[in-house]
Amino acid sequence: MRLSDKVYFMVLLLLIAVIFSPSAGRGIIYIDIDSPHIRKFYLALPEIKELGSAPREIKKEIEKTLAQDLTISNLFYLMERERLPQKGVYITEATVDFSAWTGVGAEFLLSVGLAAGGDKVLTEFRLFDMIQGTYIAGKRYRGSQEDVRTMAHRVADEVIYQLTGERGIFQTKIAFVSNRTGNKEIYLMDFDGKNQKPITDNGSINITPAWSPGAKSLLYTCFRRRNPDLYQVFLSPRRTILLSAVTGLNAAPAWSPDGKSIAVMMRGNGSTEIYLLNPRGKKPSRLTRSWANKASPTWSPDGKQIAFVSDRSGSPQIYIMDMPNGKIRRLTYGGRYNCSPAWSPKGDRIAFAGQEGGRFHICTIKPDGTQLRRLTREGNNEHPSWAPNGRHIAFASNRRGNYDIYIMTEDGGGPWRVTASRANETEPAWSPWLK
Amino acid sequence: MRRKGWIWQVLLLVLLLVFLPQCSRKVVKHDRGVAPEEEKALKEERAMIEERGLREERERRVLEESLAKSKYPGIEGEVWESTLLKDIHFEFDKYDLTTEAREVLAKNAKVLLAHPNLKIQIEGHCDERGSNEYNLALGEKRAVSAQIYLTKFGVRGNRLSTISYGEEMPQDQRHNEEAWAKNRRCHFVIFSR
Repeated sequence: MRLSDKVYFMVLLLLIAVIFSPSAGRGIIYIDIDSPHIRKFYLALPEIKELGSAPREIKKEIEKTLAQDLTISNLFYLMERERLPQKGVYITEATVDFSAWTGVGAEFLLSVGLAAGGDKVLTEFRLFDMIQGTYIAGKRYRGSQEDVRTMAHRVADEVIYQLTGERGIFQTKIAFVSNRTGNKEIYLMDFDGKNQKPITDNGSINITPAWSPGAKSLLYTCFRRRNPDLYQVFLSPRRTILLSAVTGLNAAPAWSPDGKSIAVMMRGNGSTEIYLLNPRGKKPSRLTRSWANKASPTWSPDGKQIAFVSDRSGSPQIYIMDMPNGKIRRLTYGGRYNCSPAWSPKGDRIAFAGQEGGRFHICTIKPDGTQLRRLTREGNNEHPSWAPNGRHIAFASNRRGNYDIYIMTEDGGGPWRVTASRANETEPAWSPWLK
Repeated sequence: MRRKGWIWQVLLLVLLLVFLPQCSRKVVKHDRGVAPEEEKALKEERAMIEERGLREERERRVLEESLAKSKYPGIEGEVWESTLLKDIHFEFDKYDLTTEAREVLAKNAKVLLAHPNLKIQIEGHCDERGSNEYNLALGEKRAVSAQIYLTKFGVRGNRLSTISYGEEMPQDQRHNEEAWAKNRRCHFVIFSR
């Protein structure tokens, strides 16, 4: 007993030293995700070591969540546990045996320790580069038993940040539409489908959810007043306001990156046009003008361009408007039906749903119209929405019969199904960074 | 004695008021000494007016009988649907009116012209294929197509409002060609009459 206390104390001391050490990891990119030759790395994630007493369910929950997040990052092969050396130890700089790990082919090692007392949970990790034989980083998190998934997501986010220099997406959320109550309502969930909560509960038709830049509120369209009106719901504390109720459409809102205007579909002169509203939903000013229908505006991350759908060629295609001069150019030429453009937060690609062989698939294309890529293979796949890292895409697919939300990487990796109800889950809207 | 006289006077006045209009009409007819042809024409006109009245009454009754109250779940307000106002249907991703749709609209226009008090809303609907946002725009365009065509028959535009439900209110919930064909439609509801 005294011995283990001593070990624990030493570990703590070491950890504190590590956290405050100026040479801790940052600044070095271990995995260059922008490299065209990127491959997956072998990551060892040994069984979590209990540093004190910890309920089995908590340990399992953290292990499962961590493995899930690291898998979804699509950067690693998670190594089989049986083959791993140094079993049953919380591995620190003092105890790590690099050669034993390189011997089984590990390139990175993520060692996780856990202690729980009462409602309090403490999680800590150490991350090593086995090839170079270096310690990368370590951190400790405290929380209550309800927070264990969040703690696991934070560990995963930190691992991604330490290795790639980019933020992880594991604490982001996805808004979506579900008809599980018999009508379409807006819901919110963690990016992995957990913690689903209703945002609207009005029994009407609620569609086209969209995030405000600071993620404090969602815009959506509701038919409650026998007109597709635009509403804004603030998430905390929960409060809903009617933002725009012009006769005709007030739909498919897209907030400009600077938060100063909202692009929206509205009734023009015999056709649907893209309008800009101010943040209070007032002063509509028309952006497009022709006999053709326009739909689904999406902003470039610099706020200087808007991509949208127009049927001016006779079928829905995607166009880009330069905001200062109003010049419009056509982006998509392949196929008879291209819709739902979503501009990547990195700016480098536009995702959309395109019809091919009678089914819709998620594709991406560069804003200059080159490098068209199709990312999905089965079922109908619609309504892409980018994660804030610009590397993951959420979409709705009916490949298993009803519509569910899936996520995948920008090159089609995965995909992972994150909703599993018997109803239809559609129109995912991935949140911006939340913290 | 005086009191009784007053009562008789009032009674007389009431009788006069009741019978005088009829008397005077008869009187005018005979006094003028109308020629037989003229009388015939007058009779015919009266008959026509009467017939028109009857016809209008009949049409009103037919309309009333065709009405059913309609309430969409989660949408405020109650409207009426009439079996006299038939849906029109569209091709996939199209909003131009087919020959059949034009024929139906002509009949709908007749109903609207016969009942000038009717104010209706034209609902544009789409099938589930394609993005629901684009379908909102498409449904709007379908409703506007029908609206413009109805005004060509002389139906005043302010009696015809439009709304698009996109793909959000399928009539047939199935996912096949037959259902899709039914769901690509304009539906007409009555706001006031």
